[in-house]
Amino acid sequence: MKALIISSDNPKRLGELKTVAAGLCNDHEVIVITDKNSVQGLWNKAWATTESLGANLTDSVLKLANDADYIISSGDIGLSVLPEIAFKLSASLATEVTNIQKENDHIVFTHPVYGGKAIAKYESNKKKVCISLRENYFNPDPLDGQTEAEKLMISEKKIELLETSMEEAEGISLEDAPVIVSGGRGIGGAEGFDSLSKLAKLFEGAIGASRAAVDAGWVPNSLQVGQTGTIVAPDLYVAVGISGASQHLAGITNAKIVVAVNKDEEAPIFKRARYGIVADWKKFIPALTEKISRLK
Amino acid sequence: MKIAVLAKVVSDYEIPSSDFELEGNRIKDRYNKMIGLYDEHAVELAIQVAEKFGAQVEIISYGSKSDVAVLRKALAMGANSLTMIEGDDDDPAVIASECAKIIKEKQHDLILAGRQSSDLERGVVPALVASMLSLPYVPIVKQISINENELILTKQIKGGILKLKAATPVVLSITDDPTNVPRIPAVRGILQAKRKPVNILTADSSNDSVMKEISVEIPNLEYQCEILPSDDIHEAADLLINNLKKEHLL
Repeated sequence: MKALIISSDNPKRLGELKTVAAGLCNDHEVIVITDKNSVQGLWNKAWATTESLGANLTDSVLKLANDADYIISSGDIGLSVLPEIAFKLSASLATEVTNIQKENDHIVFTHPVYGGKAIAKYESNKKKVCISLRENYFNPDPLDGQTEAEKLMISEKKIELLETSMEEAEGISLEDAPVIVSGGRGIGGAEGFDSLSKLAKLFEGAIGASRAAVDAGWVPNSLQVGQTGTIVAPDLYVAVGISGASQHLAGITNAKIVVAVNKDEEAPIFKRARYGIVADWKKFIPALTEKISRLK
Repeated sequence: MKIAVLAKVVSDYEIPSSDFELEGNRIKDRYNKMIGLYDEHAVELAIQVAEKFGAQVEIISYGSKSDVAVLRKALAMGANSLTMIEGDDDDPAVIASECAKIIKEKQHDLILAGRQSSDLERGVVPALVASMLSLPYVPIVKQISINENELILTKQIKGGILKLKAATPVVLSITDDPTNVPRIPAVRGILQAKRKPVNILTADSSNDSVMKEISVEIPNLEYQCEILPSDDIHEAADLLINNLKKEHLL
């Protein structure tokens, strides 16, 4: 049995994929999107490519996927490459997978549905399976060692990359932050996030936001926490003026302690929180920030 | 230019967990119906492209006949026509092949869909449509402009954006952005929507289910929330600080 992994050059992502592959079989091959000529971890075979667009990668991946039993990926690449592989190779397809269990001769996939309000379980009725993982749900393998990588040839560029622009990341990334202070619709405007930022800084944490705050244009998309934003797993998540739509809650499933500050005591966020403060955040957050700054 | 938007009607995706009920393996049929969250952003983006660059926008949906009433909203927002494929399969390959048939027949130049439906959230139908029609697919796009017959796409990635150039025909999945927040239909649009063409077809693809569904269950997540008294803001802050200290977070 053989697994083919397609991953970005992020040790966490690659490690998660390796963990899943290790649970399924022993022969692991990998395609990594990188400009280096080696890949972290020990692999039976490794390929490297600088092509990051699924549409351009698919044909090359398809050739390598032919004799693999499991084709495993996550995130954007999983979404764009795996459905076509599954379609062309008549494999079954499991996406947004948050858990995998091997039961005798079949594999059971878990996938949250209805914004995480329910959990669906599926099993594949085909031998060949394409699996796209939801990020931050599996323990990343430490990826000891290095494997020399062969260059993956890209035959035809269907989509042309004109420009990459990254937002300047201030401090720690959302994904790695042990503490996140997040704001939602209740914050009322871009200025409000300045006060959340002060609190986040005291914790050496990051700022997050709900979809409502992002769509209102108050903060950039990259701050969005939720099922389709960043899936986070901090020790402390402070939700300020966030009602707690299920899409948002699905992004904080793995947060350890949630503190909710909201004027509306009926807000669903209180159902997920460990501590709740029913109050106007404009009064509470500055008072809390001031007290914590005195502790430090 | 002809644009197709694949849109799915779903049960209210904003109902809180406390009010969420299943009947068998699917959400109980007692909630308001609406166009899926990201599908509605896709409809908005399609209409913006049509307004700026000139195009006909056709909504294509797979589901029940009663969804037509809900999808009138997309016509009221400015889409030109609706094709409803009547069918009750949940298999993404079946849904995709039904949509692909229409797109093949009508030769749309640009095919948009929300990045995932707001019920089963698998996010694979647009990718499968692209595979079936041998078209390139770009997921998670938020802006589209047209320059001399070429599309310039803004794609969201972690921590930034990509600008891409694509030729038509192409399939895109759309994500939310401040620039594509769905408009609220004007009264005039609502009146016009009543006269726009609605074509109802019956699905005939067979079920070739690639995955067998074993169960759908509501997870048992019990969190005990301690509401800290907040009549005095300063007392509440002190209480929270003490609790965070107990949890070793301070």
